[in-house]
Formats: sequence, structure tokens, C-alpha cells
Amino acid sequence: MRSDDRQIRTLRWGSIVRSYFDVWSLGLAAVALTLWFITVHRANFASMRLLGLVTILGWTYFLGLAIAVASFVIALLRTPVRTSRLVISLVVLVVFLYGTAAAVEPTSSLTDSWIHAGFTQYIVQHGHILNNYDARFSWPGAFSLAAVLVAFTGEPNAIAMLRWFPLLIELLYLAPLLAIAARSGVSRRGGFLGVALFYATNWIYQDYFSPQALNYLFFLVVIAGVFACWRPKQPERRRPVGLRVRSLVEQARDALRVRRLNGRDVVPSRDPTTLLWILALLTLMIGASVMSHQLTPYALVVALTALLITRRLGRPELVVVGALFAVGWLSLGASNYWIGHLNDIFGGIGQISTTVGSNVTNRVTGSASHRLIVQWRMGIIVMLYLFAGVGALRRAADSRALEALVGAPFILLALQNYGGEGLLRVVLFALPFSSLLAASAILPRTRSSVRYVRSKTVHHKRHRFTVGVVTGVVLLAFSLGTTVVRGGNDAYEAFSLGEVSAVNFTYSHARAGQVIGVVSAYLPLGQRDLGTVDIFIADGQSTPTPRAVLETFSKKRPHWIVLSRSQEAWGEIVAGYPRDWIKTLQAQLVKDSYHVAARWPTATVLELGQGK
Amino acid sequence: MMNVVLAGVSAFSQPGALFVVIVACVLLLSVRAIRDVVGLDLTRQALLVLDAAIAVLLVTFVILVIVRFATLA
Repeated sequence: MRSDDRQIRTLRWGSIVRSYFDVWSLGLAAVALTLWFITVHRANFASMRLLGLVTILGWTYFLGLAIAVASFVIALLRTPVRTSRLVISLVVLVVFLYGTAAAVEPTSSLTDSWIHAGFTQYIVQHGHILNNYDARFSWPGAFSLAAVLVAFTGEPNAIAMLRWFPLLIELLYLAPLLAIAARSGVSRRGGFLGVALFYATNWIYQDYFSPQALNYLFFLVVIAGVFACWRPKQPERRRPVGLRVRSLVEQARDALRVRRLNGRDVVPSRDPTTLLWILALLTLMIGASVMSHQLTPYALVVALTALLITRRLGRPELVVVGALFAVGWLSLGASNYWIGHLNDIFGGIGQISTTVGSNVTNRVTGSASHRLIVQWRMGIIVMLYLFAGVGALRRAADSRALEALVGAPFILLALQNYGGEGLLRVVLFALPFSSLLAASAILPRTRSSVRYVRSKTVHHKRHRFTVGVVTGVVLLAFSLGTTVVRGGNDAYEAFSLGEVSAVNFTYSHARAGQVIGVVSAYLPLGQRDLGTVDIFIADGQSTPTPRAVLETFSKKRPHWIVLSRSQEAWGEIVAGYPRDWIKTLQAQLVKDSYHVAARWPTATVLELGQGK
Repeated sequence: MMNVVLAGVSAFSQPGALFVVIVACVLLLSVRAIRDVVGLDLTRQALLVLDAAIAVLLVTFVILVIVRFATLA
């Protein structure tokens, strides 16, 4: 056979293989989406049990998820890599992981999202914040933006934004995540896998309608902007840097030299004018973050410092401006919050064991199903960090920026407990970078100035198949785990339409100054009448006995009490109350001068006094 | 005497003064960043004066914030 004929046959065979990958990847994505629609159509929210969302999903969800993962893996292994195919597969994966709850549950879950709708509503109605009402009002930027959107769209309130917000914001995260992955120094395929692992391990559920969800977008965009603007200047060394002690000491010394801290060890990737505009936009974004969230600006400052030290940030001024804005807003704009509560801000400095205790140990309580969910959550993060450790060793890199970005947010833990959520937030800030490192454990970059430890992988005949299987298994395992744990509390964190109606009934009938009592905060509360109708929560942020709850209500005597299926589930799952405890409580309250004002299958409203 | 000094510092740490220090610091930092990015040629002495001014403003900022927390909390 002539060599020309051989070349032509090879080219034809190559294009057949590539189109085989394309057809399978897109076809499987379409099948996965179809199965998702079937799942959503068949799921029955009313039959949700103690383990939450996963108990109502059915086999179509899990099969569809597996097919979505397969679609992604096939697109990942295609040569050359086609970004459009991978993005389509990623979007399908995001819909599975973050759109299912919104599609299946009749209304938005999580009480805090309803409270934030209430803050937005207040600004829409009054044109200003309510001073001295809530700490979050001292950082009103996100609520103001939401109020502008509500007014602009002509909606009566922000409730229409709540239900699908998590899916929307997670899809918005995709662009900066891809930008970070493309420029962070990982392999191209490793970058896409890292983004997929981010979505597969983000059970942390801070993407509900909240300032932190919007600020996380700011965080990702600022980091992506920095990665896009500068790259490391190659050090003047003859041999690649390894992991010997002498070499590590040399690297640590270099990181703290004045030259490095002045941003001289970077090479700009953009022309000066573009760089200036991007710097201005990043500064504006940091300013917006400072006025809308308590924690994200500080996470940005430590992340930017880490990027400066690891030769990825060329302008130290951005770090200083970020710190100035953050502390300046705290001192000036948020003084309503800290005057009289300075210990809330600075009391946790150095209290690391207390912080870890309130973030980890204290959460492993409640029923067996609840403890299982908490343990699985911790397990996912531990496994991810194990993979990230392997990835850090396996990959070759031009700088250790990713490793620094994983470690830097943990500095925040030494400063602030953040109401027992500090560790969650820190893990979230580190998640994009730990995911990219975890991806490097499977698909590492093999050539660069910072040498990796493990010797080169021997590429055997079935190498691509083995990598594909390993990638698929790891991604599917994480995705399944996140599906289970992310919706694991939905038995009490998700709400029925009856519960929404009960709360709206109560607000409509409550007069200014009256108090609405609830056992625990798991109700769609707080979305209206801010500052005129108070909410009293009988559990006092702990788990008192049902008898203690009854005594609290008898002492406080709120004019209205709302009892619901969600609170009943909380009592059984978290507080360890017996079954039907809420019926017993209702009967005791009715004996004790309350009457039933209104009833739904999933909620009852009690009013103080004898009925008409 | 000490009371007079504290009263003076406390008055200076009022929001207006703090705001002015923040704005001045951001302006000087912007000059530093722009100079470097667009390649504006400043003498070595001018650069030292710029860095010194930024350092003084930052120290002033920290002192004012501490005094503000101490007097109002």
C-alpha cells in the first residue's frame, strides 16, 4: 500500500473516531436530560422521608446522572478537546446537581432565602434599610441590587427569584471557573475535570438567594481576572524546582522578597491599557463585595496575597485597596452592627479549637440519618482533599498558586467563627482550587519549572480507557454523594405550598406589634412586614425538650403560633423528638388558651384566645 | 494633657477624617499602579516619597480605626 493511501486511511479513521466521540457525548447528554425531565415529572415531594431529597428521586435520576457523567468523560477524552462539547456536558451535570431540588420542591427551600426576600422587600417599599434590625443590613449591597431588579421587573416582591436562584447562580459560576481552570497552570483536560469536580463536591449550599452567593461570583471573577492578567516570570534556574528541603527553603525565601511583594516576578499577559481597565473593574468589584458581604472581602484579600506571593498577581496595590475598603466599610458603614457587639467580630481571634468545635463536632448530633448526612459531608471534603494532595504532588506547575489558594482561606478561621459556619465558608472559598488539584491527581500536567514528585506515567495501550474509567468512577461517586448530602436536610429545610399559605395567612391577619411564634426557624418566614411583626423562635437555637417548648410558649404567649410538617421533621431528625410530637404540642396549646385559626394538610395556625 | 490628646485623636477619628484618609490612600495607590502599568517615568526620589506617603496614610488609617473601635464599641 502506498504511504499516501495509508495517510488518507489514517485521517479518515481519525475523523470517524472523533465523530464517534461527538455523537456519543451529545447523544448521552440528551438521554441524560430526558431522564432528568422524567425524574422531575415523577417525583412526589409529599412522600419525602428522613434522608431528604434522595428519597423521592427514583432510579431515573441516578441512571441519568451516570449517563451525564459518561457524556462528560467521553467529551473529555476526545482528541482534540472540544470546549463546546465539554461545556454542554457540564451544564447537564449542573442541572442534575443544582436544578433537581428547584424542579421537584414546590417552593424555595431554606428560611434564610425568604428572610433575604424580606430585606429586599423592605428596601423596595421604603427606599432604605431598617437600621438596628439585623447585622446583614449593615452590608446591604446585594439586597439593594435585588430591590432594583424587583422594581425593574415590576414584580411585587423578590419571592419569584428564590426558587431557581441556586441553578442560575451556579451556571453563572461556570464562566469564571473555566477561566481559572484555563489559566491556573493545570493541564487542559485537568482544568475541565477540575470544574466538574467543583460542581460534584459543592454540597455546601451557599448558593441560595443570598449576598454570599452573589459575592462568591465576585470572588471567582476577581481571581479569574488576576489569572488572566499575569503569568509567572520563569525563575533563573538551570534545573526544575523539586521538593527537596533546600529547594523549599529557597522558594519560601523568594516568596517574601521585596521584589516578589512588589509584583516584579510576573509577566503581564495583556497590554497596559487593557490591564488598567481590568484593574479598575476588579477594584469596583471588590468595592461592591465590601458593601454586600461580611466575609468575602477578607477572603479576597488573603487570596490576592497568596497570588502575589506565588507570582500570579502583578499589582500589590489591589491587596492593599481590598484591605482598606473592607476595614473601612466595617469601621464606617457597618458601625450600626458592631457598636455594642465588638466581641462578635474580634472575640473569636485565636480561638481555633472553639471554631473547629462549633463547625465540626457540634454538628454531629441528632438522629442516625442526620448524623449520616453530616458524616458523608465531611467524608466528601476529606476525600477531595486527599485527591488534592495527590494532585499537588503529581502535577508539574509554573507556580504553586493553587496550593496557596487552597490554604489561604484557612487563615480566616483563626480570626472568626462566623456563627459556627466559618469552616464551611473556608472550604467553599478553597473549593475551586482544591478541585483543580484533585483533577491533577488523575490528569496532571507533566512539564513545567516546578517539578512533580511521581515519575512519569507509562502510557500503555489501554491508558486512555483506564483514565476514562477512573475519571468516570470518581466523578460519579462525588456527584452521588453530593446529591445525597446536599438535599439531605430537605425533609425540614424544604417547604410545601401549605406551609407558605399558613405563613402568608398569619402575616395577613397579624397586626403591627404582634408576635408570631414557631418552634424552630424551619419555615418560609421573614419575607414581609419587617420590623412590624416579630418572630419568636422557641428552640433558642438549641434543642429543648417538647415540654420546655410548651413552657416557653406559655411564658412568652405569642399571639400566633405556626406549626408545620417541616418543624415536625426537624424535631424528629435533629432534636430527637418522638413521632407525632407536634400533634401533642398542638393539643396542649389548644388546652392552654389557643384555638385553631386555619389549617392545611402540612401546617396549622393557632391564635391566642378563644375562637369566634 | 492626656485627656486633651485623647479628645483630639477621638475627634480626628470621626467618620469624615477616616474617609479622607481612605480616599487619599486609594488615590496614591492608584497613581502607583498606573505609573507602573503605563510606564510613567518617575525619579527614584519621587517613588520613595510616594511609597512613604502611602505608608504614612496606612499607619494613620490603622490608628484611626483602632481609636474608632475603642471609643465607640
